[in-house]
Amino acid sequence: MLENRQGESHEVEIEARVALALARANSKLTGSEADIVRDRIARSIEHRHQLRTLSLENQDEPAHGFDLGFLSRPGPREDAP
Amino acid sequence: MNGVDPAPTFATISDLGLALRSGQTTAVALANEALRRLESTGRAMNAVVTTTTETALALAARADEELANGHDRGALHGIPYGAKDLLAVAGYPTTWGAAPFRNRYIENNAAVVERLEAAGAVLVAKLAMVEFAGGFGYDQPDAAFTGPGRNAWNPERWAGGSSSGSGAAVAAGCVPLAIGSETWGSIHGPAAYNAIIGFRPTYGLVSRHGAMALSWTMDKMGPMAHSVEDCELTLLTLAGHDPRDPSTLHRSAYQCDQRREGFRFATLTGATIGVEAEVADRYHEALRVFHDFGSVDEIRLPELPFDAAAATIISAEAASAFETFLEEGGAAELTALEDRVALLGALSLPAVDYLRALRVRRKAMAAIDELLAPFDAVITPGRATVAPPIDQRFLEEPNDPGARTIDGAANLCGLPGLMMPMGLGRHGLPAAVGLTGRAELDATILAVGIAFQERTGFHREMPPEPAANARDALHPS
Repeated sequence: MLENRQGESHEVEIEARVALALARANSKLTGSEADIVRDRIARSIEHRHQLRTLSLENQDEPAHGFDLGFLSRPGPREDAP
Repeated sequence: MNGVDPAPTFATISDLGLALRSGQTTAVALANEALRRLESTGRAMNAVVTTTTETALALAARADEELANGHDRGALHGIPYGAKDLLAVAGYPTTWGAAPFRNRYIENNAAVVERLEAAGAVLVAKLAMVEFAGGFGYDQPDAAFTGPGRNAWNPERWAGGSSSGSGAAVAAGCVPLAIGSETWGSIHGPAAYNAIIGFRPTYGLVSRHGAMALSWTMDKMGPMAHSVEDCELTLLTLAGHDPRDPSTLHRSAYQCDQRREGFRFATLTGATIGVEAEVADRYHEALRVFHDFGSVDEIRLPELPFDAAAATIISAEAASAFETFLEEGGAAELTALEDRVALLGALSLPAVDYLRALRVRRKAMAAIDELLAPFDAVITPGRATVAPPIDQRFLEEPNDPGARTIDGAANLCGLPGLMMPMGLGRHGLPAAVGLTGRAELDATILAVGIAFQERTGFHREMPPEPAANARDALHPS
């Protein structure tokens, strides 16, 4: 079982995330299906731990793809105030 | 594969072009042969979703008529090809490999289909793929409504995923060219397992417009063919800005790199940890070839969480791209059990985890670019093993925690990569060597690949079964 920084189990987070995911999908799973979801959530928590091994500063920005270039509208009117 | 006899669809695009222009064959004849192979060998390998017979014969007839009238559209004129079925094609189902969409039509062609049609290429089939390009969490080959993708070298082995049909169809001589897509390994895997060439372009070099989105910031479209030159000929057509895909790069036209020697290569420390002995042997033999036309230094990948960042980004973006589908229970109809439920977990992935992955990505991009700056290409074993059995779960594969691979880093950072055969490994199955380069230096990677091919003949080797049977059936003695 994965543990958080205080050495506690991640079971609470995993079960909470399973419940949230199932609520969003309005889904009921069999025991084996729920185990698959739990396993994938546990893996994502492990990934978070790995990501945290790299120190980030406040101004380290995401590599986003935000781009205004797709707006194909004309520029300001010449007679605008 | 010199010349077009005895198996035209095993020939390279260049050889087929010569045959078309000299009158040895016609585009209609090539299309008909490709269609016949697709319906026999291709279907047997579960490599085909839909043959586009009506469109193919019309495009082929147009190509022949134009050539007869002196209108030559270039290297791809009259060349049959297949498209992974995540690319929209008007008039035919676009299934994304998923049973719920087996009868879904999208009435606009994908950008790559448009560009290939404008270049005179002839679409003959929409090729099978792992459902939703593998983004729903599959962990075994039987994860498509068309059945598990069978390997062209041994149908009891997996073709690789998620561009399984593209890889197997080219390798088995059904088509000389296919378009695949890669988010993390989906071009390279099938290319490696089937002994063909697979090229993953720099992210943004080829438009994703009209292609299924799995992960907007990681999806790439690329060619799969019998030679590196064929991949480059195709890339010349596919590369370019597309205002409908805001991620495409604003760059001048793609320029080929004519160098064939004097390259600077790097290998990775720990690259053969966890690699099958026979694959490692082929890799060391290949390295001796690379030494013939370049220097080789060893480098160490920085200890950054490349794979964790890539996995987190793909999960979050896939869950978002398919949010409504997941919430409406559409996944319940998928083929693989794990695909029906695994991505549900990503619906509750914290936004801060996704953003951390994107912040790590920026750091990773800078670090890997600095590492690769002195080199033209990093050489690695393409895959740790030969193609696994068709009924083997991935979790049963050997997984050495000490293994260092560049795949996650390369896909996370949008780097170009080339997969090429390097001989045979265990059970007579193909082994492959991979090349990775700096972002936007696609031409350099391809130049290295051409130089490697000129010194080896691995790309000319054809599978014994079932492709040879198909060839024999077409050319009885």
